Amino acid sequence: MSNVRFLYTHKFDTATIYSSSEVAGLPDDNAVQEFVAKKWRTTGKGTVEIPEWIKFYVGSTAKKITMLAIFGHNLTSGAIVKLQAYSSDEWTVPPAYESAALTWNAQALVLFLDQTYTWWRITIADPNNTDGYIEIGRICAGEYYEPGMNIIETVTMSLIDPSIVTESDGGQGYSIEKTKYRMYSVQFGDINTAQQEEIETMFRAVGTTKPLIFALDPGAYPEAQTIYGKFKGGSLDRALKTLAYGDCGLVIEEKVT
Amino acid sequence: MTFIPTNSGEYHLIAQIYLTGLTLYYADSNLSMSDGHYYDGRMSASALSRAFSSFTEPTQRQSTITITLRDEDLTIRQLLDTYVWGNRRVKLYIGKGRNLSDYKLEFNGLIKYPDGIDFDLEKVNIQLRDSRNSDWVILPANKFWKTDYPHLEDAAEGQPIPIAYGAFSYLPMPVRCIDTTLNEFKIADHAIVDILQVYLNGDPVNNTNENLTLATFRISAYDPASDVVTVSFLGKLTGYTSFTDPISVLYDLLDYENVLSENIDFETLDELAIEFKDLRCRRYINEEISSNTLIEDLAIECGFDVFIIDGRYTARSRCPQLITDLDIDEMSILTDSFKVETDPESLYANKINCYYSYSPQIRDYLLMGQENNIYEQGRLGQIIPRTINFKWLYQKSDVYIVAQRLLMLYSREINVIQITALGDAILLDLADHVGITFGHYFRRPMMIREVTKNFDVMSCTIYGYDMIKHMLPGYWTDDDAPSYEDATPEQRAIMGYWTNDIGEAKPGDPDSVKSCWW
Repeated sequence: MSNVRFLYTHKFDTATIYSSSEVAGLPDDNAVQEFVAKKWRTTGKGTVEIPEWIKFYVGSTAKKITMLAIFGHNLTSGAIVKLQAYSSDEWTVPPAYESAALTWNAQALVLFLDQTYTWWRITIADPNNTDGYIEIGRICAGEYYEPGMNIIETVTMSLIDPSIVTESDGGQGYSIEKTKYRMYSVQFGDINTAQQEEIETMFRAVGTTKPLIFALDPGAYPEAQTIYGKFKGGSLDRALKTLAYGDCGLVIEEKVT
Repeated sequence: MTFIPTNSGEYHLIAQIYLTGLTLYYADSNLSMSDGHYYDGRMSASALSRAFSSFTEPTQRQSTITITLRDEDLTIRQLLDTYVWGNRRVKLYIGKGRNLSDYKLEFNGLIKYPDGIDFDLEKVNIQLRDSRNSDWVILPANKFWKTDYPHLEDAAEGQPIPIAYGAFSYLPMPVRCIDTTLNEFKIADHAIVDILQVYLNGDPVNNTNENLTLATFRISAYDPASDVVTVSFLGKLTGYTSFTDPISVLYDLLDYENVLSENIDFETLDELAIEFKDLRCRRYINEEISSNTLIEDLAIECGFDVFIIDGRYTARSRCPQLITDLDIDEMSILTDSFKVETDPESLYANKINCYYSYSPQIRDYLLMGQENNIYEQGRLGQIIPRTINFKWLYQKSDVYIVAQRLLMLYSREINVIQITALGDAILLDLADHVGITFGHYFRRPMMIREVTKNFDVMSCTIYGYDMIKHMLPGYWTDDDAPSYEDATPEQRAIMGYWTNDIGEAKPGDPDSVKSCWW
């Protein structure tokens, strides 16, 4: 089991973005907007020969990307999604880097890599998509942080249904369905000062207001157990023990809308 | 757009705010909708309340709803500084999912101005009001001015140019001289049907140069200082029939309010026009008055409700009916929400006084009549009168029909039923008829007088009048109709029966007591 990974430096968020197509009210900028429900919607669904694409120019200085994650999509399991990279905006020739097709998952598509480029492009072909278009809520890319000491085994994953249920006098239930989301409660046990400070640095960067990605088991379940969310609770609490070792708990709440 | 509630669904309330040059899209949750717009999930909304003023004032009270937009990021406050928000249109839709075709226009209103917006550090509250509040106009709209009529008689300067609905055959109205050099007079600010007779100081005189389009005529001699000219005429006959019926008047008043035809429910109003086609209306409007007041008077006298649903003006007869728009029972009625009050508005009356045939000249009613429920007066030991002033209806037969109807309605205490219902009930609106099966009621029809929708839990609290026990005294009953003993409960509710002196259709059975009229 790999150690957990956090991604909170979103390098595509400040990139210049281009796309093959977009609906006027749902432009490609939405792909890096905080809310997953704020979609980038294409006009077509792409084919293997002519895929839909979205590309990011991260600036004249190449940037290292070690993790890519896509959330809030309408892709079918037959969709072919690849990440490409190049040192210039030249996509007619084989790119300098091209990933294998990302593994489909209803919640997330995740890729771990180690590449440094100025131009990045995601190609999408989903010819059997019955919506007739491709929709993506959030694309995150950057360098993940992996603590040296992994979390302890007592992980709690809660699947929360915030739906509102009201019952009539006859016992009939009427519900307003809400989107279900996950919440992970994890604990680092007896970690040294350096790791405590790394976690504090991360918490200072995002607090409880900015989004991050949490991958519980990036080796075995990179897609199924990776969530886009925020730290829950107003504080980072550490129980300090002797020799500067301590325990630290984190709660990450998935943001699906 | 169609919204079909189910027991469970992903329901949302979404808003479109039409600022000049910018349309904003908000919802109660972040949504990328089928129309290609992102609806920012920063909105919540208060309950939406709609109500008629009362049974005796059957026009819609101003509907109110406040939307709250979260604004920690200052987005809304910056927009408040950049754009004009006051009096700008807001449409609220309720529905489920992402497809706009699964949504229903629930409220089509304007941002209240002034005093319609307040905010703090976290949120902006925006009060909405229904369109009706901005549609009303002052009538008559035009006045006599010497800039328009250079030879206008002095006394007419600044006076409203009258609007005249209906036939003034036997009630001559005063007219203004718009050209003292030609002795030309103008009757109304619109085309009329006919000029019947002109009177100079009460004596019939001949007239010339009739122009029915301009509603003008001339006479041979006139002294503005001493003469009074009156005329009997047929006014603005816009009628469905050969005379002016109430729905035709309603259409015409909405036209004065410049209500777009797309905002009028013609289908329903045309059906209602057939029901009211025999009522004759007349009104001479020579003093400024709100069009809302004119419509309200019309609705009270003729017995229908005027209201706005889905942003469209519509009307519904207040005649009690057993036909229901929706039946609800314990499967959708919320626990502890059922409540019945007895005549909370104190509408009871056993005598109706009617004043009618209003004369603008003497500013009073020419005729008076009354209807008594002698049985009820005796039973109660007290005469409780209600007075109705008829400003539109002027014929004795029409007035007495209305008076008898009102007497029947008011001669028993009106039960008011209140419930909160779930599911389909969210679709209910004012004047809808709901069949209640709950407690000892079985498909009991009630007419909704007030509705409050809580979108947070998709519930609808309705407040309405029990239409059987207190409002439905009985229709004419055919000879071959079943007797009281053989009739079903529903037949017993709607049919009339011969009773003994204390109202028992089945003598000795107190449960068979009906209203005893004659």
